[in-house]
Amino acid sequence: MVIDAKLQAFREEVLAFCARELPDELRERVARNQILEKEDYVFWQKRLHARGWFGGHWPEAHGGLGWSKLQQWIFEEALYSADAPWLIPFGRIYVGPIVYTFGNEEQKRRFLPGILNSDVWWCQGFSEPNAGSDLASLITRARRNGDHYVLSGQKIWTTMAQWADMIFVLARTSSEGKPQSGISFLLVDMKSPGVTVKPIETIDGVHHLNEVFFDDVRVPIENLVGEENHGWSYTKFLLTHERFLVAEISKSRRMIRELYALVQNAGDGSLLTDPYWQLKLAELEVDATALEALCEDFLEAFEDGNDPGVEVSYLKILGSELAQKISGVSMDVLGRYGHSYQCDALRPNFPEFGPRGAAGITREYLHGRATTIYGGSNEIQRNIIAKGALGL
Amino acid sequence: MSLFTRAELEHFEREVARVAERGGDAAHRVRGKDRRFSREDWKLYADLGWLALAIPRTFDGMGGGLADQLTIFHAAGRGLLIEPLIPSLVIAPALLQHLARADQQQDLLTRIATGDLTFAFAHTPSGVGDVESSFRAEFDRLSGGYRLQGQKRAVLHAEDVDRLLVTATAESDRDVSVFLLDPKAPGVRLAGYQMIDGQRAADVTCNDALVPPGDHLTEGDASCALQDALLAAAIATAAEAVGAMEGLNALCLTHLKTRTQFGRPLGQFQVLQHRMVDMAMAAKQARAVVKHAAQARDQALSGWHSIASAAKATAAKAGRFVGEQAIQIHGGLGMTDEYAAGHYFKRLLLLGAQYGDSVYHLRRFADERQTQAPSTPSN
Repeated sequence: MVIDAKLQAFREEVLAFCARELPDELRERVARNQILEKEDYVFWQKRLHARGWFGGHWPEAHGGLGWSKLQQWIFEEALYSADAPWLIPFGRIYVGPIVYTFGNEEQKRRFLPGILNSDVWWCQGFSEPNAGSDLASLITRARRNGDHYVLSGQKIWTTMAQWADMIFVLARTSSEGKPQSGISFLLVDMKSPGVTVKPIETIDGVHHLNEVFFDDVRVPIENLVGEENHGWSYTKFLLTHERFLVAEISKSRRMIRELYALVQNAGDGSLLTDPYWQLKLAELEVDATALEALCEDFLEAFEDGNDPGVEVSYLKILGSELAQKISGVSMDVLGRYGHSYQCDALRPNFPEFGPRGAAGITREYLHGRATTIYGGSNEIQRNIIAKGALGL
Repeated sequence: MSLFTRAELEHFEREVARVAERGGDAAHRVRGKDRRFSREDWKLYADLGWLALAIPRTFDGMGGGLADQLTIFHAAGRGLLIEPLIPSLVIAPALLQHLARADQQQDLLTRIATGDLTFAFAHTPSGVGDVESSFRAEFDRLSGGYRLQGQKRAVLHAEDVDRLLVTATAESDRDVSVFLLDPKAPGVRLAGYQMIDGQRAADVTCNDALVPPGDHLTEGDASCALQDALLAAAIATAAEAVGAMEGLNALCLTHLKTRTQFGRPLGQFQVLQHRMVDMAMAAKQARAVVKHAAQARDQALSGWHSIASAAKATAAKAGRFVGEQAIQIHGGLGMTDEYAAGHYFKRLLLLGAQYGDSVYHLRRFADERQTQAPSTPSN
């Protein structure tokens, strides 16, 4: 696919913006996959918002620039290649579009500005201990009681809930009929009495995930998005539209660049001339090139008005498995240094043994095992394609 | 020739498993920061005869071989033990029997058997050639001993053992030499930190660390001794990986049978059944080739070096596969620190790299293959 001159120029503009506006210190921390704090993410998002870009893909009517999927993709990929911090998706990609698509005017007024200016941090209340892949079987209950719901239950794997002001929750409002048809989409203030957040430490030694408990929490009915029992279809609609972004090709390319540097500096420096490593690195770059081509194909089809449908799930499968493969090869190189893992080295100015960025690479490998699990596991994605695209 | 009859071996395996797996949760020894091995546990192992198993009878040992020790290393993997078993029970005995004087062997090997002497091995971070990490040994005329200078990185258990076995290059010749070093000696500094699996290692820095003449082990060919010790350690490490894989597979199987989604146990989904079969198969095959390698070494079969590399390469590849798939099978639960799967996975990563990863051993295997058979002439 040929990207037209206008979008090329846009890409250059984004890169120039990053070079100018992204502090070196923050870029360095992102490049080394070190721990970022809430204020780091908010700082960067506010910078992008000042330029009008943070909600660029939102309709103009709701404070965005009405970008096409292609422009949004170019924007996100450019940010990755500039080592910019990850844009937190929970408000910008998930609940924001749901509110402006299915919410009422009052809700748009109350919630959209806070998402765009990053004054309000959102987290996602979907998974439960017994509702993982089978999310529709969720049991967190919202009982209608006059002018409010009483919410009780538990969500799990809630990313960054410890920083959140609001949580969007899929809750059961009916047990009649199919499980999917009894789920509602609620917006809950994290400061409501009865909301408790419990941290979950993950295998990378970092705290990002949490459990969120709802103990008879009052949720005003003004916080129900759309119609009761229609929450599942809103979620499906959203997921359908966001699958294009998940390949994260520029992130994989960045990881390959780091790997080259690692191989170059490993041992006596001769690894790069070793045919084994040359082929390994070439294979990874070939995989990234092929994935990028597929991504562009899908975007082109979408631009032409031919929605590729469920086949876009290929991007999630290929993207996550490529990233894991790159991480795995990086770990093969790090193994020569003995596999220390000093979590303190995930913070700036901590001297670490071994190649620069070893802790960040290890963290990426360990955390990256989740990419084939979250967002619909790759087994589920394959089921979706088998059924929806191949008719099996 | 095994020490055990079949019945004795089964009994021994049960006993060792019982000790290694006591405490319920497999990961309790490695979870959290700053986990150090306990001397009490080491004494328990001594009382149970684990430490004397492969020490020669002349030194009050049971005279067994590496194959007899496999039970212990499997258990170390399954129980996620954190003691310096491989340096103390494989590397030290191998190096000492090759390189130490008779009186030293008498003293040190009997003390290993009784649990009074633990070792760490300070060679390279991964235990094999690649990364620059060495001591220089300068002859000290006054004492007749050597001054060690330099830094060794990522020495497992260095902070907690009685002696380090260290390799160094003596200035006069470029060949490697082996020394016994007291980690508490003047001029030796340790800087400890955590490894990926929660065990502790340290960077060992020597600044004019004086080693008495007797602690320079020179009674044999150091290069030859090192190769033997490192390959034996590779087999033992592969055995530990097998144990970890088996522990991890057991968790996965239970999970597949008990976790329900979409109204039925996950184990009813064919994709997961086949995945579990592949994991069980990988562990079983690794176990077999590790046993084969240990027996080949005990019998000093020509070519045992290649079989050792085959075993290590197989176990490393299998360990990576089983570890990664186990997390996938467990979903979000597998990603938590609280659950044991992630700890097995991280131990398998460490074991996969120690004493040579699969690339290193494939290379070794290929090199030996080249020296055995002339290359086929091209047409």
